[in-house]
Amino acid sequence: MTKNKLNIEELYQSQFDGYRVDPSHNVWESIQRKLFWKEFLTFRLNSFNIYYTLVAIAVPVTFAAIFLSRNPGILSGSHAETGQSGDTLQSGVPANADEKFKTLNSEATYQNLDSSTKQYSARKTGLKSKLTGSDEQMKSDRNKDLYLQEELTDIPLKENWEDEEIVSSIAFTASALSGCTPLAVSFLNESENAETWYWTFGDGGSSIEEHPSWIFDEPGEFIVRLQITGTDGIVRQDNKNITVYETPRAVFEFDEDVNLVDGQPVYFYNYSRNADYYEWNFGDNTYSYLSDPVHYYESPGSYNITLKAWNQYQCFDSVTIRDAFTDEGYSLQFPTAFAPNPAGPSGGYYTGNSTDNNEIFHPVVTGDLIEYNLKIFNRLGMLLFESNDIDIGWDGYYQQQPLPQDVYLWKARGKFSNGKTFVQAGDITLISKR
Amino acid sequence: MLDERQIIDGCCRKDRKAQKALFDRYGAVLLGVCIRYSNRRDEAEDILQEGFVKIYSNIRDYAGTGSFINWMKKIMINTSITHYHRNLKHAWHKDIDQVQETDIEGRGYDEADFTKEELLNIIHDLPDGYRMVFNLYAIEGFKHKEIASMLDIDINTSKSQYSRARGLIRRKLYILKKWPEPSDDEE
Repeated sequence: MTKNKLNIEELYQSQFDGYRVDPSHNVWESIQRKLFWKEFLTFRLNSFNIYYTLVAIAVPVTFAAIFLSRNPGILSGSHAETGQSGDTLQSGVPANADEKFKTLNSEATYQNLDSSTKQYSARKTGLKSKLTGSDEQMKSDRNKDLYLQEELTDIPLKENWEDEEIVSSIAFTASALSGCTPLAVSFLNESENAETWYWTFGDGGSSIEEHPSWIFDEPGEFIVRLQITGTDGIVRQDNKNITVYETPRAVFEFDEDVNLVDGQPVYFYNYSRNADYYEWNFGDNTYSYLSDPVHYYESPGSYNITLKAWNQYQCFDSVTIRDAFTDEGYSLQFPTAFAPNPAGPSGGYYTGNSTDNNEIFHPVVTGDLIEYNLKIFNRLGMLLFESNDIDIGWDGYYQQQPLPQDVYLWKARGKFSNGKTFVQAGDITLISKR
Repeated sequence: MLDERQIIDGCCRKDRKAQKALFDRYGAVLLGVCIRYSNRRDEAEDILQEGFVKIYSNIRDYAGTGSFINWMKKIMINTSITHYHRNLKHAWHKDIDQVQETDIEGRGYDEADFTKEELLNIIHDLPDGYRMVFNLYAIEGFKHKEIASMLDIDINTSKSQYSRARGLIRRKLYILKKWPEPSDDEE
């Protein structure tokens, strides 16, 4: 019946073959812009054009301008103190001369550029006019000249201050913003220039690590907050919401007393919590997606039954009962008599089924138990002993006192790993060795 | 109206008109490819732009053998992969263990069952790595070996990511249609 149906691959292939999405109207403009820059930046001899020339001029000019404004003294020195330059230290002379040359050179370039091109940024033209202005006023008024020099030095000073300022910033990412309990999340701190970090995870937990990891055990919405103190002393904080969904718990039982030979239905009882979807694997290559299915096995045998449970957030759990419907390999046999050790109570712990000299009353088990409970009563109905551990039997003592030779009653209940439950009762004869 | 040969020749000469014609003609189809690889429209358009710039500057390398549109698609896919790698350090990889396997054999599908938008949204919701592998394998038809070398991952990673992506998609298809549960039939 599924011959003409498509699988996922075919479905997607057929739907997306030649799939069209109209690009936004600005995409073509962006492509043109990118193409232009790419071609512009590609080095080709025949495109070595006016732009390159301009760049070649602009770079030394900018360099000279910055150099000039940082050392305004040279400017005045070159005009007013030419005669005294010979008095400076010998090592200073060539450097000084060199600088003077550069200064003069760049001034010339400025004048050239003034007449030829006007493609300079506002800051540079500002500098320029101040430079040429100062040049003229220097000759007329030395005081004003000094004042202007101060103004010139202002600009690079500000630049330096901006460069050296350390700005801290806060940012972090989480490996997951949602998931199932227990959800382990590692956080990557992308804050810059922070001195201390303080994380709170919204569930009462906190950390001072730089890149912490945290496990959310409980479902809910948690606000993860990072607070940093920057090297600039400013406290900043950033939040992220983490949603944790409760993981389902898969639990089920079924009628294990069903006689499969008669083809009786098996009723499954689903006790799972927090689950929305189920998948049953009945162990005979059949599946069901109902919550509480009824299944007919075609032949008797032993089956591994698995229940998988999901919720809408893809959280998942599963449980398997092995060898369901078989009694083979699963049995419990109780002795009818035992003789406690007269030396004193042993606690009832025994290993294997060999060397306890029949001093401890316990069943012989074949198969795995997942639940077990044993109670011992005297003939008046008084509870003398109880054990929930198959490895602990009765040592024949009550409140550290040996009990007299008599017949006592036992009752055992529990569950095998194949899902089969048992309730058995009987009597046990206590033989006193004294 | 220029035909494909004229457009290609024009683009080789860097003729603006031919370039525009190429964009008008194939932009929509190629964005249809890009949009599958990115869950954000703006990122898809970024990929488209970068891809077109590559197409224009490398169009001389197109030998004229094979389909022109497939050549361009290949460029878009490679650009998408580059983008994916670039974003890898920002977008965290979903750890494989965190994703529960939901491998239910299901029913077949009719083409009319889902709209393109629904299908697209489903692949957009996949974790990034899954989306790459699913696109490359299911739609583009690459082999796992090729995908492994393209994405620079292990071949088994490609396979397991693919099967998990497929499982996730299947669940979402069922949820979308509110189909009660998959039938027991094999696909």
